[in-house]
Amino acid sequence: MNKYKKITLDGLIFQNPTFMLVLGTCPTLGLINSAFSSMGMGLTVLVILTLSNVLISLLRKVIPNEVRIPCYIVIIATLVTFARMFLEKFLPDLYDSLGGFLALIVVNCIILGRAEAFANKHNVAEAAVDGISQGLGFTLALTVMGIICEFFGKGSLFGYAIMDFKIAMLATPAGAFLVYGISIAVFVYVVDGVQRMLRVKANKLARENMLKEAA
Amino acid sequence: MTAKEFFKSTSFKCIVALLSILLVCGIFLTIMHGLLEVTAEEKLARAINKIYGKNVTTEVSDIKNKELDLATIEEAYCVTSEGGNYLVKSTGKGGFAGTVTCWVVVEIKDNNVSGIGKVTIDSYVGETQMAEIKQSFLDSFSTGYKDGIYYTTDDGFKVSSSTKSSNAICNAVNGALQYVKTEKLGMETNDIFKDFAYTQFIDKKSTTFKLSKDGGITYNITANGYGYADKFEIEITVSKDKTISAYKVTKDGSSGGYETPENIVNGEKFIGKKLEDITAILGEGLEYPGDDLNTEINTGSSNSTYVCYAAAAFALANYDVALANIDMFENFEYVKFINKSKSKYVVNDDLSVTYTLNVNSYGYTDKFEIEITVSKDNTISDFKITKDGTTDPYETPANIANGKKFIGMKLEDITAVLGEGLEYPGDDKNTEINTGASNSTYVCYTAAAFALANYDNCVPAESEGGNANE
Repeated sequence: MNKYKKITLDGLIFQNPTFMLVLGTCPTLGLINSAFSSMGMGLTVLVILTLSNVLISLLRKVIPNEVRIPCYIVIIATLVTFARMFLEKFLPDLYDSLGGFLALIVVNCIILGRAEAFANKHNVAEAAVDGISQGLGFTLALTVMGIICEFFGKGSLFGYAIMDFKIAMLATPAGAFLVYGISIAVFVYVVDGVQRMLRVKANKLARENMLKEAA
Repeated sequence: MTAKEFFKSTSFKCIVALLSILLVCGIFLTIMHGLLEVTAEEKLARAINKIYGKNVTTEVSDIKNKELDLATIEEAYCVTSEGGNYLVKSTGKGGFAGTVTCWVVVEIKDNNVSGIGKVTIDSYVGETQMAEIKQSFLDSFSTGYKDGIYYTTDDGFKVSSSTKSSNAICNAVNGALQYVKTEKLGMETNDIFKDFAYTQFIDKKSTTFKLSKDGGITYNITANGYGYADKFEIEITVSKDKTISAYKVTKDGSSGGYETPENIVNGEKFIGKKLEDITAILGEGLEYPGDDLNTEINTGSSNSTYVCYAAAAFALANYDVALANIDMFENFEYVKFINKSKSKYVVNDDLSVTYTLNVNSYGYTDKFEIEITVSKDNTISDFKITKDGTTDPYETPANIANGKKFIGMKLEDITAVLGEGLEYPGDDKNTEINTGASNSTYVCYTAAAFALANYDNCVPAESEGGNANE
């Protein structure tokens, strides 16, 4: 398999930071009561993650191993601070809706985790693809859960009222926790099922080939 | 380690790498801050755009953070392009555990407040149910406006699942209205509590006070809720020595599970208390001491206890100002003949009443000042004119000026001349009033009638005497 395709599939599905690695839980639980906030947080993390991966990959041979973590933190904190300034200037509504969770991206495990586990071992292009795919995986997961929570918890979608019926508990962090847990279960079940199906199909193909060769 | 070895060492490389990254990042952020900084003007323009949906011309008000009873006015602007309406940033107190800051558009017409244009939420602190506050609720302030309105949750200006936050928003809007009326339009407020202390703890709309029979002040206080405690209704009497002589909770606002202690509900705890006793616990600012401190407030129903203590402090602290604002002549007869603000009465030990009256002018005569004593048998025992309002050439007759005419007189004697309504009989009628100084004589007769008619109001039937209601 093409290595970029593998990196992309890992980020989106097999190592999805939200559903498979269960990273970035704090903003997930705090923000998925609104689809707009969830998507905004996901896209912000995508940009910061991609930029931090690129920068860390670029500097991986310059930064001594002994101080790599403080260096990564400084780079990530700089990018987050820049993102805050940018959002406050150009997207104030999103800035307000993200609140304190925006500053907390500095300590988001996904970003530091990808820097440490991937970016400092791969070239710039691979690191960039990893950042984008992991960021997209995070964004999609948050957005889907945000849509579920907002639709059933508030009866609206992206702020637009859809229906009067609502289960208010789903718009609270406790409801978010419930939706998060169910989403993980469903995602893992589906991915596991697909993988099993592919394995069975491959085994069947291999067996047929063996039988053909034996015949 | 030599210097050369140090410069070749890993430590040196680490320091250089870390400092370099810090330096580059620092420079980058400094430049970005310069480019992306959101100025105060830009923040204001955003708020205005959010409210009006367009750019408008504003004139900055000269105030910053003006403290009112239940709100803080943070900023105020005159929107010149919108007919001189005012845009006020007001922070309302009295939320669940904090405040709500709102932008309030106060509409002006003919130099008077004509309505609330719009209310939007700017920010909030310590409120957990703000998600329940919808625009439809905020719009109710515009649609529900009427002249002289004071928004309260009791009048329906609330979201039921977020009552405390609704209360803070009401306070923010009331604060904005009060600010514009008094500070910008120079209107007088008819707030009888304007000189009172600790008004932030009471609902001014439903709190009243009156003179009690023992010469003290009886308050019917609606105390604002705090935390888990809802509004309380409490009847408190403060006696002349500025201690609490009666205290009774008539409506208990404590919430289920946190019952107000019995000795507070029945007032036992407060009888004989002075203001200093309460400020010794809560301090001069009557701050909530916190649930973790071992004070009298910490009763297991601390929020409710605090509300009751604050109400007691309000009653005690305002004895003098309440007395000065009280209408001593409420329910008195013939009050139209006297200037209430300059008149008073004293109940003497022998149950006679001495009035010091400032009597309104009539016709050619000016105001009179007269001291009248009405004895227990409801007759005049003393009548003395201290300021004669007669104008030249109409001299008040000597027997009226020295009061002899009135000694021993009863109310019936006067109504026999002037009738029950104390009407001026006219100059052409041959009555006792027709003295050559008829207007002055009439004024003195009305003063005497007032004194005689209101003896029972001054000395209630069960009174044993010695009360002085000055």
